[in-house]
Amino acid sequence: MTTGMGKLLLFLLPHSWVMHEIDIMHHVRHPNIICIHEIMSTKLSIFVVMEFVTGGSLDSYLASGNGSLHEASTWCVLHQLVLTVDYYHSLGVYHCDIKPNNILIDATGNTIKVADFGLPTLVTDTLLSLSSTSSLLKAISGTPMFITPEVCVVVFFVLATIRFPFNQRDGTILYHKIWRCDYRCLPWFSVGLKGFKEIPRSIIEPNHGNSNSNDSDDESTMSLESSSEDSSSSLLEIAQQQQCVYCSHMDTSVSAPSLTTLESTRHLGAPRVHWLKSMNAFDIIVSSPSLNLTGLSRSQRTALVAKIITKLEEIAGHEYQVSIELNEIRGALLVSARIFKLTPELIMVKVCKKAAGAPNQLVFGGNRLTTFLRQSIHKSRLELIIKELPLTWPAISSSLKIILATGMANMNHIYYPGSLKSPVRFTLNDDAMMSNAFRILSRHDDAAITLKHRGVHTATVATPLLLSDLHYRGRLIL
Amino acid sequence: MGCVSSKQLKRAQGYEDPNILAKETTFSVNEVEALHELYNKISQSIIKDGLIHKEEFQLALFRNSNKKNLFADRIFDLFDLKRNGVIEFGEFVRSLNIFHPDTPMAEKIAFAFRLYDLRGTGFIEREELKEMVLAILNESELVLSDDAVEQIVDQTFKQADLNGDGKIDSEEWKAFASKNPGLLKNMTLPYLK
Repeated sequence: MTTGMGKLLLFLLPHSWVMHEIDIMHHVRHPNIICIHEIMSTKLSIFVVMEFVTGGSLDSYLASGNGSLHEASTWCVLHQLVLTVDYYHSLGVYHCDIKPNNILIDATGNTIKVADFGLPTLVTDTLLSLSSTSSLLKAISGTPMFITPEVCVVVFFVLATIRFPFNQRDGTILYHKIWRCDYRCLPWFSVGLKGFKEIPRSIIEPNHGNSNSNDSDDESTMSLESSSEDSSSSLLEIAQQQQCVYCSHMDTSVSAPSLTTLESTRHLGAPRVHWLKSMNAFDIIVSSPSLNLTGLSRSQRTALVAKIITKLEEIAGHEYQVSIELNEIRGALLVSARIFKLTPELIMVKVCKKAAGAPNQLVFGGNRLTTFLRQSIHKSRLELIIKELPLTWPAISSSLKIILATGMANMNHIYYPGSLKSPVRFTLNDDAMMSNAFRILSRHDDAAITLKHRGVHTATVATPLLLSDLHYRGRLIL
Repeated sequence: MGCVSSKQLKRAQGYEDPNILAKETTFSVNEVEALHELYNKISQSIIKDGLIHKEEFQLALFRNSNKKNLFADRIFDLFDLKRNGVIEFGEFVRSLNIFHPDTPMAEKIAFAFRLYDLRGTGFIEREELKEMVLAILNESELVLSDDAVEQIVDQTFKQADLNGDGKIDSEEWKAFASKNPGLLKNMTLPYLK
């Protein structure tokens, strides 16, 4: 679970940088990332006390001769892995060495834990401005077979097939193969995998476009490019979809991805994988959200928020604060929304993330989403509900859902704050005037916020984001 | 004065004494009263007559009154015990009772059976199952080939239709659901407790 090169790189780094990095790892809290309990250091060594994960690594499982993972489990792993990578990226951290032997399975066999903090790299302005460190980043990082922009897919490939998509003894040829995306899908791929065959090609394909500006045959550039939000979000969608198809017992609340087929084992070491019993039609049926009556009680909550909003209107002109506590996959999060009424027409909603667990998380998450909402003509209809800031608050590619009620659809005016270079587009694809979910996808200089809801009508709602608030370490982080 | 009598009338229609409802169901009197509040909210959302209409039910479930959905329709029809097109308060409480965490599994299994027995024939037929699978796939915007759907349905029938007569009867369903407890997870709403 260690990577020689990773460690080496660490030692090349200035001590303060190492400590800084470990400090970051210390505060990374995610169900799918191994937890660091304590860090001690002497002049020569750094001791890291971390969570003990009994299930062993996926690699040792594969090596133990049990064959490849069942496809369903593979999708489950992929789903969790993408969420994890997504989380890393949202913090500006790049793991750089994701591979089966760095993926552990916990005692329950339900959750994967990404381990090996030997290499994760934080991209900061400081780092990028230092020429010495940027050259460090160019050092070969990670394990060559897994150096591809979309490591998750490679891991997926390996789990499903026990083969490397790119495998070659000779390093140069290997990198060349990766660069050309030269790999083969195997003839025995199942229907699901065959469907998948078309997808990863586009995902695996190294991000040539972005790399052109850099030294084009620099491998580490590619691993940095793995931050491509597009691919990670689309991967997430695919993984989620597939997981929904396969994992009949998956918790509908999204918060608990489960590896249903990996069951706990009494022995330490390689987990025993049981074949997932084939999914029957009723499993599919019960996965439907329509059969979930939880919505009935939601109306109570909506009413509550509506009350808050009424109150908000009463005290218009004053600051109003709504705090929503979330206990989602990313750990406990506290979100506060401040709503200011600037002019009778213009309302500003400021959503701040407050870390609940580690106060230092504010360092990562001192990010604010500031949104101006143009009030619709019918003032009384303006309702603003902020709800379910979802599993991935800090994640860019995952959705930040802000439920905005009526009136939103009327806001089709576009405002550009002075600092904003490129337009911020909101696409509202909503099936209900009552509720819209914000999906925030932002990348570099253009932030695109898509209000996505399977639905009937599409409208474009534009709301400016103050980019200065969102610019964080050279990237947009919400 | 007329105002008062109309109010009483409204309350009379479908309103039942919480004490009686509490006796008949797993709910306590307090819980029935809380459900009445919820019922009022839902029933006043579109047509303000104190009864839950299908649109209101859909609105509560999906926040959208126009969303046509096979399963929402089914659930509405099952809740509407009197089959008069509206869910009255008594029906609402009795139906939600099935979803109470403390309600015996057998009742949940029976409810699920009626839910899936789309045409009310007393059997879950192959056609019905296929229809439901297609509805779900459509809903989740998943495209599966007809072969794949057939395969899923066939597989399910192999497991569930023990006597091989091409339809699932209530006994077979009981056995199947007991073997697959995951199928009943939607039949329990933790918040009712």
